[in-house]
Amino acid sequence: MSIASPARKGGIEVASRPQTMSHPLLWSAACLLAAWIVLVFLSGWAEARVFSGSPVDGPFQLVNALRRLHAGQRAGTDFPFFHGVGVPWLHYPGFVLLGANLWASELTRQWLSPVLYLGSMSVFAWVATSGDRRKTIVFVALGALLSCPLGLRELYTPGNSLLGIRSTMPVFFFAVLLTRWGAAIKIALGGVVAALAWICGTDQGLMLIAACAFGGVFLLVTRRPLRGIVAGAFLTACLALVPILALITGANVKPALRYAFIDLPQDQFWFFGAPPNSFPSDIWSLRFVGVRAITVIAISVAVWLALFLRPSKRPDFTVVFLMLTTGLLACLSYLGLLSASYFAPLGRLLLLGTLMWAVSESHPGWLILISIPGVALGLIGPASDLWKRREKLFETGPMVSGCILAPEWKEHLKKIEDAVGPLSGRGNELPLWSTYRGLPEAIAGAILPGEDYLIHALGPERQSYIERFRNTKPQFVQTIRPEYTNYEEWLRNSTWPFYRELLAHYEIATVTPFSLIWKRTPEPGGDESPASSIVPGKTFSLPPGGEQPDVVTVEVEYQTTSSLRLVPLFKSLPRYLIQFRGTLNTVPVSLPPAPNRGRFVFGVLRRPRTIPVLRAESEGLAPGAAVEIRAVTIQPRQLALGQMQFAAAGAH
Amino acid sequence: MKRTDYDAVVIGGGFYGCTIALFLREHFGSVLLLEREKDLLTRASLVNQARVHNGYHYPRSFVTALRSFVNFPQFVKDYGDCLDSSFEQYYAIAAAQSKTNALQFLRVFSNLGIPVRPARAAVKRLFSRGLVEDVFLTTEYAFDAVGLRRRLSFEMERARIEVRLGCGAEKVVPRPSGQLELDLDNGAAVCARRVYNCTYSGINRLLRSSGLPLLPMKHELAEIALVQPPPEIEGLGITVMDGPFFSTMPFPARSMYSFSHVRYTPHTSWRDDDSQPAAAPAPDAVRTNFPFMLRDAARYVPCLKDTLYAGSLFDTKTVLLKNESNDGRPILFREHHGLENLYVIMGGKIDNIYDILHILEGRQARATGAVQ
Repeated sequence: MSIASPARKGGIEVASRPQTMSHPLLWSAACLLAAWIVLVFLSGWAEARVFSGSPVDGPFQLVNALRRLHAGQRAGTDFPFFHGVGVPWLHYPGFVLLGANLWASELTRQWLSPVLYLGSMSVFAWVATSGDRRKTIVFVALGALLSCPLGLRELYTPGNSLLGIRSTMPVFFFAVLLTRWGAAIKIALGGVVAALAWICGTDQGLMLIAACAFGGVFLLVTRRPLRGIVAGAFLTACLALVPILALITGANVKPALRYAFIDLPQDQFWFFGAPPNSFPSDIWSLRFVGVRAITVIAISVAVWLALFLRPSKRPDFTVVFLMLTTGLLACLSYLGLLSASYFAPLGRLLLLGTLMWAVSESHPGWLILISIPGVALGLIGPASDLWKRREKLFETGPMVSGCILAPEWKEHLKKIEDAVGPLSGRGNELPLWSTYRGLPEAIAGAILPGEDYLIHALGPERQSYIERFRNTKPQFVQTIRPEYTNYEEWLRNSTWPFYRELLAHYEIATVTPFSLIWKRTPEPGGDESPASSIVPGKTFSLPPGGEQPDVVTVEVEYQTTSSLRLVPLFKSLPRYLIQFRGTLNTVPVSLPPAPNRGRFVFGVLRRPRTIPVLRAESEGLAPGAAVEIRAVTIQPRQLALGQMQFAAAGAH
Repeated sequence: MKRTDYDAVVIGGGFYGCTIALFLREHFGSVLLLEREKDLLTRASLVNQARVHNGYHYPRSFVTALRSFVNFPQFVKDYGDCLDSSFEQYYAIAAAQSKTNALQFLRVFSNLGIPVRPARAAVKRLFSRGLVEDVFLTTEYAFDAVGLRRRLSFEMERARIEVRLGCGAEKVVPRPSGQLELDLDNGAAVCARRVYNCTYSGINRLLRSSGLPLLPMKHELAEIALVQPPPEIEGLGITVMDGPFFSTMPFPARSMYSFSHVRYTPHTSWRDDDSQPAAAPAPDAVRTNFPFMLRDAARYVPCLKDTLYAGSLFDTKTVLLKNESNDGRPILFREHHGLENLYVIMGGKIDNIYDILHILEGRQARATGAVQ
């Protein structure tokens, strides 16, 4: 087979070398791709069939949103969606078609990520190879097979945060730039796709638009190809953003914009980028992102610098330059927290750029070189996923919301029903307030007001959430067991007033594998002791614990300083932490930056017969950061016997 | 002529019954304690490992570990003269089949402030390296049930609590006066304003004969082997965690060592339900499982093969069904269970008595407050 390489890309001649591609190679690629697809989709089907998902993040973050859409609510107006208001809409058709239950949501979640991963890659490959079907097959087969060895599993599976979907739209945007369409179409379509990229993935879309802004200026200054198109697409994206958002939110764009541009960035560092999450505490801590991430970033930076410094008339080089700019900007997330998967969007763009060069331009030596790990290792990841889920393929049992429940979920549900009563059909009469709404609410069909997850009540909404809880006085409350995940400790640290209210009025009725179910007591629990002041300082001690564990509400008045406080983004780099010693708490408290005076309230679980010692310190990449504790007041509260499980921090 | 009218009657002369009777005597004028056996503390309070828990047994149940940790110093303070604290108690974490690993064990107890230290090299060498992940020195004692019996008998006598040995309760019925009447197995009857059923494995027996709702309980015929350990183990207690493993430690009541195994100590089990009366198999008809216990234990601690068997104690161990799915402690406190002023109380471990007394104190304080 001879490869007819594109004579022109973006209207400009590019070098091409006709090569032959043998049928065995093509068939091998097609078969391997088919095997990859079968493994990935079968694995997703098994996962949806027998539900064993996490009660926090992941599955229910999506189920809750889809149920709200199904009830006629609007994302961004009636409820926030952390990753972008368009994400639930992408899943909605599948959810409705499959029956609008937990299984429908799960199967859609499991399948949409690989569909969009392969779909966007196919479109990109089709355009990059100028519509050559055979080359497209080889391109996509290699792309799929190399995904797992390169650490891109988080992109073709939903993972915990739908990262693959969030970073899909930029691939379509770059495909648009590579087409042979006219400049006006590219500008219009590219702009709309860039705006959609923000709608369908707040952080990734924002980085694409930022890359276009930077790229547009840079390309104009250096008079490189596609300069007008990129600049035009940027302007179109800015203009298209609000109308598209208005369409989705019902012309009520303000809450969505506020959530995405004010509340979320404000809490990105001190709240999300705080222990137990790893964050860049110093330059050496960056190594925790992993070898693969460091390698991908290093190669990307090298290629980016080469393209930056060496002008080229080739438009595909400009596209790769923009791709890497977008991917590298997305890696700024590492300044927030050191997640092993954050490099994946950059990894995908680097992979696409490499394949474009190797496949479409037919560099056989390189093609063979990059094929080796793909062919050797490409099926291991998906096959391993399926092997882990093999029992789910044949599991039988009663269905709940379309799924067979894993044993721990059955126990969870039974214990909740024993405490709260039957759930089915309760609707909004369900007397349960969950800090992470999930299966009980889905079974009851409850669409309750406010954020579905306490962690998504950002900025001023945090206080509103607590006020709503105080006024609602629900009969039962569900919080996550501190032994199940240390993120519960993190949540307590950041939203202590909620837990303080909880301890004042509730006792634990039952303990499920995932959560504590609290029941409102007829009378308020034991009073807090009167507030008293203690001597503040960088290190300060609380009075010693008694014979029983108890909680001490601590309010600190503090001031933070940072040498980079006037530099956007970098001003948030320092973390101001309060570390514990001699307490049952194990996760340090993160204080919001407060250049003037700030106040923050948190809880300390006193260990019996021990003096708790608290130490304030700053960590982070910014030099000259410090925190000073000006005043400390404390209010101890006894824990009732029925509240003792609350103290199980640090046992995870 | 014996008195027949009391402020409170406690049924069951085990450690719980005696301690509750002493508590009640502080608040009421006349307290009667009934014990079916010929002496106090001869059943479940005697036939167990005699371990005073300090939490180590419960790395997966925070509250249980915490309660043990909180109660331990109190128990040591109150009954120090009935304790053997002369040995070193070691907890080993099995490398396979354990539900907890060594790191988790260490982390959970360090965070709680419960003392846990790495074992001495000489002690570690006693264990099979491949089968045991790590060994820790802990702080845990053994109680002497005979010493406790002496102590509690003396205190009850001093408190002028009437104790009737060899006398059990057959039935409890309400009287029109609001009192409760107890039919005794010697044909007599007594009346009381309040009755406390502390009969452990016999709780449902009394409830059934009185036509009252049964409690969900499971019983096991448990064997505690009494042994003479090999010289290497003298002065040590060993518990291998956290699954189907074993334990051996001093048993002060008989000046020997106890030996028990999660898999072989229970011989048979049964449940109380409405259709089938609870029936414990006769211990005399049961063959010892000690050879199996020892064979398995010697895999983990080879020198144990030289252990000398001296006999076994058998009795019924009772657990609440709610505790079957986790390792939570079987603490039961039921107020007005089927009848006004009928209390049902059970505790699975000796130091849980403080949790029960805490509840009783709360009830008493509330009642006193209401009167005032």
